[in-house]
Amino acid sequence: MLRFQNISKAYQKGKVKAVDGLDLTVNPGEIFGFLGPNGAGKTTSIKMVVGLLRQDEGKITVNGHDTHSEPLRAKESIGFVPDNPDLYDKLTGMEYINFIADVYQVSSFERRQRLERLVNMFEISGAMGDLIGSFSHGMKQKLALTAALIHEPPLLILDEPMVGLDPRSAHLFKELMNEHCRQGRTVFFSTHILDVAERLCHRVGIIKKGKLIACGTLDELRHQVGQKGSLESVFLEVTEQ
Amino acid sequence: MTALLSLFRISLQSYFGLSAMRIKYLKKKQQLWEPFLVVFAVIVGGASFGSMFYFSALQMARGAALLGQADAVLTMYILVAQMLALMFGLFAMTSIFYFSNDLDILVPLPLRAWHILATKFSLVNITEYAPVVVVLVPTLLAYHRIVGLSLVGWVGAFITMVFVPIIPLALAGILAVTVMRGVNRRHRDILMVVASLVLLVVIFYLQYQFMSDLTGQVDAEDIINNRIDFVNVVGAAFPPAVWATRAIAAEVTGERLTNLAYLFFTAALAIGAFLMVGQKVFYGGLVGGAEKVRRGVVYTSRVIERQAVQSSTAKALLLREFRLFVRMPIWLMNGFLTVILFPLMAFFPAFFGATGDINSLTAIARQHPQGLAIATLIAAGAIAMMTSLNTLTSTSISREGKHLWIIKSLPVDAKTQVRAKLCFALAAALLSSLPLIAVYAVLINPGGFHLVIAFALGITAGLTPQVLGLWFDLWRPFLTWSNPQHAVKNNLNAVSPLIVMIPLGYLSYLGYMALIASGTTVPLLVLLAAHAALAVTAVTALLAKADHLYARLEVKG
Ligand SMILES: Nc1ncnc2c1ncn2[C@@H]1O[C@H](COP(=O)(O)OP(=O)(O)O)[C@@H](O)[C@H]1O
Ligand SMILES: [Mg+2]
Repeated sequence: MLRFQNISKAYQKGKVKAVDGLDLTVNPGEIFGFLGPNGAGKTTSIKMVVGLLRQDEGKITVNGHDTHSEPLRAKESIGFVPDNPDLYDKLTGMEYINFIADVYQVSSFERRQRLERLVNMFEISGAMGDLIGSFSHGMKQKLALTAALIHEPPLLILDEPMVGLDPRSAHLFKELMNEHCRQGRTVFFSTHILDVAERLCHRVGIIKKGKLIACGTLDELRHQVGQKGSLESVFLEVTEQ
Repeated sequence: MTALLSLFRISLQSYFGLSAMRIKYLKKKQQLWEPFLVVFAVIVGGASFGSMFYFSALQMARGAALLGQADAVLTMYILVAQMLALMFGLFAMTSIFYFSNDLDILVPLPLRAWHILATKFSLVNITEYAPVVVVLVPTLLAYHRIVGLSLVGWVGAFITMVFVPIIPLALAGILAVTVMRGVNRRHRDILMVVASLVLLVVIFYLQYQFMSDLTGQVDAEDIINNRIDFVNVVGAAFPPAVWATRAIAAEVTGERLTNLAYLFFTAALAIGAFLMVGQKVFYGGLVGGAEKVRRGVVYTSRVIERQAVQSSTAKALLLREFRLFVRMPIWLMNGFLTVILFPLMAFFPAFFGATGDINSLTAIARQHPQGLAIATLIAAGAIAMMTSLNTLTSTSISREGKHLWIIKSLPVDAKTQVRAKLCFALAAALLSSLPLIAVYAVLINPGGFHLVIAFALGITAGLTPQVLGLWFDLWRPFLTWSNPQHAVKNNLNAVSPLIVMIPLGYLSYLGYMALIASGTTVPLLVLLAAHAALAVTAVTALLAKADHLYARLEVKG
């Protein structure tokens, strides 16, 4: 579903190497957790997938489409929520959702059904007519997720989705990720909150200084490092070296 | 007092981005060509607006001088400057009080309420001097040419100009602070636009009423015998304009000083009133948390059913451009309203003033063999210039700012996005050319053919600079702004279309001169064809490059 092949990316004309030869495959129907300490290169990797950055080297395929040669086909398969969703302050929630749905060519019928469900679930039905500028951080994140799900993308990509969410909203986010995957679709999300990853993910990849240092199911990872305990101890072990 | 001064200094620096500029240009000496380009653009922009005011004032002054009433021209244009100050002031005051985010920082500081209010007032007042200078300096030059202005007169004029925007601005401030207080956040932007347009219509209407009353009552004999003073008549609605006129043009210095004193005290009074109202209404409400919050519509299935309706991608993109632009008052004002207002204001007095002059203009245009063709070229040039001055395309990517990720991650190809941006700009250009065409039609009455040519030539000639402006902004956008004002004002890209427009205008002039032997119609048609071809080429080239330019744009954040 999502494949990084030898991806590298440097900032500031090559001075800061953010991602360094990343190889990673995310299978259809799984929830994949992309873990790593701050500054490991998670956001950079995700931005290359969704078309916000260009890789210096390597190839990314989404749903079989090369992001470089077929960017539109690749983007059509993605729903994306960035780490800090800066949405248009001067549009209302409804105007924003309609804009996104129009761009993805979601029919009126489908958008009504999906919207009604999501809006009620997130309890933002009273705010959809207000300007996004008046939304709280959590509401913006919910709206961004609603927009990302409005075309039911095969691949949902979330960058640090739990940051700044209250427990109830965080729970809803997790529910939706589970549901998305139950319908046979894929979730790829980055996080540094380990117990979320531990409970939610089928597989995780750990990245450090732009390099993938471990990847697999939790059991596989435990095995790899010869540790028995939680994901936390595995994480600490592999990121230590 | 020291608190007020340091607040003023720091606000000045952040409002105009002075510190950033000092570091960049004076300390690091980076990209020193930028300030030069900005100065150049300011001169060209100011000169093109200014020349409109100069010629219309000159025309008026000639007519009025025959009646010995040239001073009334000063009154008229002082009124125009004050009208502009009132209208821009309404926008700027609302923005600075209700759309800026520094209040959260300022209010907890140990400052007095009036410190904050006075600082914000001064900042806006400083920006108001730009339109005042653009209107009044050309007017004074025109007046000087007809009547002559002594050195003392010039000194008086510059002191007077300091006071010209203060009173209308205080009015705008009081209006903004009291009216906006009771209005829901969501409706403020639109209210501001509507209010300023209503204001414009009201002022036009009042002026019109006034002038028709005047022509009804005034006896030709009274005018000839100088028994009536046009200055008082024109300025009756707003006495400060009369005082300002006398402060510039009075014959005795004593009278000048008296009128300056009037101006000074009225300005002081107006500022005092603003501070009082501001303290009570704005500051009191802010601290008391009296912001009105409207409960929004709840999106039940019925509402969703009604509102969640599919439309085409192209339409959605266009609508997005439109909404984001009009809902940001600063952008609307800077990029668009200024461009409409200035030409209207330049010829405003001519509509209601001495009607005889309009006829003489028509006569000149008709008598000279090339008259109509030249007038058409001037009208087209004005339209192209106004189009190049609006910053719609040249800050189009910059205005996306931290929201650029949205359009970058959507599955819409770059061509479609560029097309939407160009369509929006074209629609705006068409709209903003209407007032100019109306002015042309009324002043010269050139007939359908020349009107159409002026319109088409202006639009096509303005399109190429706009396209290149978008190209430039795609190539090096300014995305890291936090204050929306900086996206259009502290952005060098905004002037790029103008830089293209100037050589194009010059080439068109050369082309016209080369073709002048072939009659009056052929050169116009050839120019139109050439500009149309150029515009089509520019659009095609940009569309061909769009994918590449979009791909280059990285959202690093
Ligand atoms: N715009 C940028 N300019 C320069 N360096 C950057 C930029 N963005 C990120 N980096 C650097 O790239 C590395 C990876 O950053 P990022 O992908 O944001 O990490 P993560 O999301 O895992 O915390 C860090 O060292 C960071 O400092
Ligand atoms: Mg990150």
